[in-house]
Amino acid sequence: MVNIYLLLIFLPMIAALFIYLINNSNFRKAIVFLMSAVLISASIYSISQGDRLLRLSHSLNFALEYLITFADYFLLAIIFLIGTKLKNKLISLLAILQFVFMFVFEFKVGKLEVENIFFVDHLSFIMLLLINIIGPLIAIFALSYMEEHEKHLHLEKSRQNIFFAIIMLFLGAMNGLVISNNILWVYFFWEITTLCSFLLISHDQNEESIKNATRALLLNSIGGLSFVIGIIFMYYKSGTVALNEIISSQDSSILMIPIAFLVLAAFTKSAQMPFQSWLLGAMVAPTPVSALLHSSTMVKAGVYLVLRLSPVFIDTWLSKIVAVAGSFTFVSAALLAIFQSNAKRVLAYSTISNLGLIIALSSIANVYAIYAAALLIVLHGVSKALLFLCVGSIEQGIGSRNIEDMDGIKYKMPIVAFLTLLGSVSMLLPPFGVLITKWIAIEVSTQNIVAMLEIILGSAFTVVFWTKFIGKILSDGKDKNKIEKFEFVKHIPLMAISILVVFVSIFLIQFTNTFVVPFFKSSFARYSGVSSSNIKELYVKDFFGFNPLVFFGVLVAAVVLGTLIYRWFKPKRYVPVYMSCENSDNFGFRGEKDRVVPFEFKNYYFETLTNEKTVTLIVNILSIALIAIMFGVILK
Amino acid sequence: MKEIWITLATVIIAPLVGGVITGIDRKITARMQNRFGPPILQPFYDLFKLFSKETIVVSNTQILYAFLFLVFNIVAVVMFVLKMDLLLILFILAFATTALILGAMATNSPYSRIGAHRELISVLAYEPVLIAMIVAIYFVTGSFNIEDILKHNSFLILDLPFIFIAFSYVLTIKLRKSPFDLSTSHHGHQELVKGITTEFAGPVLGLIELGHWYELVLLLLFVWLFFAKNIFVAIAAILICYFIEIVIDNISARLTWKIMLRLTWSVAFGFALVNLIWVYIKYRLL
Repeated sequence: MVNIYLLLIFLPMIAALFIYLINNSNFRKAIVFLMSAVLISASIYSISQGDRLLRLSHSLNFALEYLITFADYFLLAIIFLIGTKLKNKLISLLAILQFVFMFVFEFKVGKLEVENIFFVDHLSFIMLLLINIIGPLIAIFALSYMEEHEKHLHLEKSRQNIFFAIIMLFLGAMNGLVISNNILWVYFFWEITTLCSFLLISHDQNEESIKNATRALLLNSIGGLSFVIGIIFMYYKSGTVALNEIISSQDSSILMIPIAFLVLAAFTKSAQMPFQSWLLGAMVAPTPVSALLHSSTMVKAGVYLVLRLSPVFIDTWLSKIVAVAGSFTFVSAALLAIFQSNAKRVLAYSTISNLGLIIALSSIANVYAIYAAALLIVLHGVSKALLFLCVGSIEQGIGSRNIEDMDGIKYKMPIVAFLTLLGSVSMLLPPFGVLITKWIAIEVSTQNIVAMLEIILGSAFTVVFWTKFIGKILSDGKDKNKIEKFEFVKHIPLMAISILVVFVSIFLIQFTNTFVVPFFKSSFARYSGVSSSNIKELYVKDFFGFNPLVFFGVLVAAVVLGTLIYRWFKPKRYVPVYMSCENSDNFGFRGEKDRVVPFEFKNYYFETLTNEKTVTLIVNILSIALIAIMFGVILK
Repeated sequence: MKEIWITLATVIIAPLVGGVITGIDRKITARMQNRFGPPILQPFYDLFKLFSKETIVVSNTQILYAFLFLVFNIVAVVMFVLKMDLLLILFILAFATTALILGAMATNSPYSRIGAHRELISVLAYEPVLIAMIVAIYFVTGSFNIEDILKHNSFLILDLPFIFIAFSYVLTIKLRKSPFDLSTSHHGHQELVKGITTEFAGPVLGLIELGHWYELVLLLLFVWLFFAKNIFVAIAAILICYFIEIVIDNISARLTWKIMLRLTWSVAFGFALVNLIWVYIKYRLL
């Protein structure tokens, strides 16, 4: 039984080694497909086994403990070396500090016994599904994408072996992160993801990508250090490093200091303000990397940690501040997204914004808030994976990632345009689930008025930038030549993810009852009488009267009705746009001497009002202040 | 079963009410401008004429968006009459607007695209105020559900006077009346031609017109919410409120979007915020 969990962690890592060593395209494809099948079935099998606390046989446990402790130091040494190679003293310093703290801590307390090495509950299941379904699909998409990508780069020798090796390593580390019970192990996998993201961002090895990767490494090292400090405090305050014991700990007030440090670490990993810059910088990496970082790995590790720890600190002053900080990220990232014309940056800010909302929801003391937080992790994961892959395909198709160049994309690349539309609509409109989580957020945040005001404003900003984006995808363009050819390896993963996007939303209630409610019941046992309540009582029938199934039903009916009505309204005549009858076609008007003057219209980006730089500065100052307040609150 | 009848009645009655109000609006506006004005039923004649025309479009998808605009508005009104969740109604209303914006952006017409973006800016301006209004109502009545809100034993306006002022303020934007008729105006000869609806014609424009009537009814129902304790007071309040909107429409010139944004965010949202904080303290902390 334990083997399945070991498999989820170590098999991708072993596969990574083989992919790295054998730089052969067909071999790589075979391994990626094979691993996808294995990971998907293994994760589903492990889920079928239910909640578990697992212990290893004594010798295996012993071996693994030593292996991971050793690997941890090795990893920090690598980060230190990267720091020196990049001539970035801060990174090296942070690595040394982590090393020293860790070493002194482990030396002083001796061997930390954690009996149950794996702690697998329904939150882990949600994460496992996300990592092991979305991750492989992205990897498959990358097979076709990277071929194309390297063609553009004119490399002498393919570096794809490194690329796919890191992706496999990444997936293994994420699996480890969400099922480990020993927080030291969580830290180890956490650090692997930091290293992997550095390697993936710097993959193209040009000046810009190395610069951005360095920033990512630096900011995540701050998080790493914070994590180490959190662990040490955690041990001295509670006497344990086992997550399951920490969560069920009765006295939450003494754990405030370690929690605050761990939350700070989560902030860096989830690119919360003021640490958002690394995720934006990560945009220089090949698109599958962005898709992976934004949907199923890396940034989700941060919000996972907050949600995992939320039973400990929920309903304290700390949680109130974290809710304010999270919703501050929600509103400010949504505001910043309005200024963007670069599609990837819009998506990145939208990710940051949604992660802020997840963190806010995780720290609001309400059943539905927790449900919504867990749901949003999944909903955002699938939608964002789809959107990034689509934007990547568009970029390869039209050679630009600027939204302004996407006029008429619905003619040029119909499949991808439709899927992009689906993705962005799922982030904004009913009956898709993301909207429901925003709605829940407003309804439950009424007890925290500051967070509530932030969510109100953020929700208005969200409408603006998504509508602009969707409007552009649907708009008319002069060039109507189709350039898209159906490619199996590229389009099948896209379609699979879009089916997931629709499915998760249709079966939102069932998903909540199957995965989220049991997680809530087991993790929040301590919290206001949850343990005594029957699990049936916690089930949701609908969300405040909103049942997605009914709504989807109405929608289907509307579509049928609409088609019937369309027969009646069927256009008799097509006309050019109105230009006082002075236009030859839809894209120009007759000027003097009947010369055709083309016109174009660009979206508003509010440049005359303010700009991204100013807003970023203000937002960064405010968010640093919030973090200072967060630490101020816990000190007595 | 009862719900189905209510739904049917709403779907039929709401546009009649909306149309008549629009007719009265046009009559009063004409009198203010020293014109005789069209008959009160003119909006209906206009609508019938629009529907009798041949369907002319620039792009096929426009029909879909016009249809969605209508459907979302109908759904919102019906949900209100069925006394459902206020916040959800507001979201649905926002999607009606989104559909209209997308419809305007679906063509390459500069007029309609500028109109669409100005509408988007309007959303940015009024949406926070509307949500703040609903949250304030929640603080006072303890529920987002209209059903429970109506059980509140006094006039909501007594607790939420500033919110009501802020709401009346954004009502001008929502009704696309001067000085905030940025995205489209009732006159076709302005710099934007007809803004967001420039590219719609015939029956498709008819759908949008019909959608506007539902929207109007819904907005007036929001006014009613503040005076729901007594039906006569509520009707009087609605009439006065709408009359003031007409007066403002006729005495003011159009403002730029920047001024609108600044004014709504400072004055209207400020008013809403002050009221919101006091009801929060009054009903939550005390």
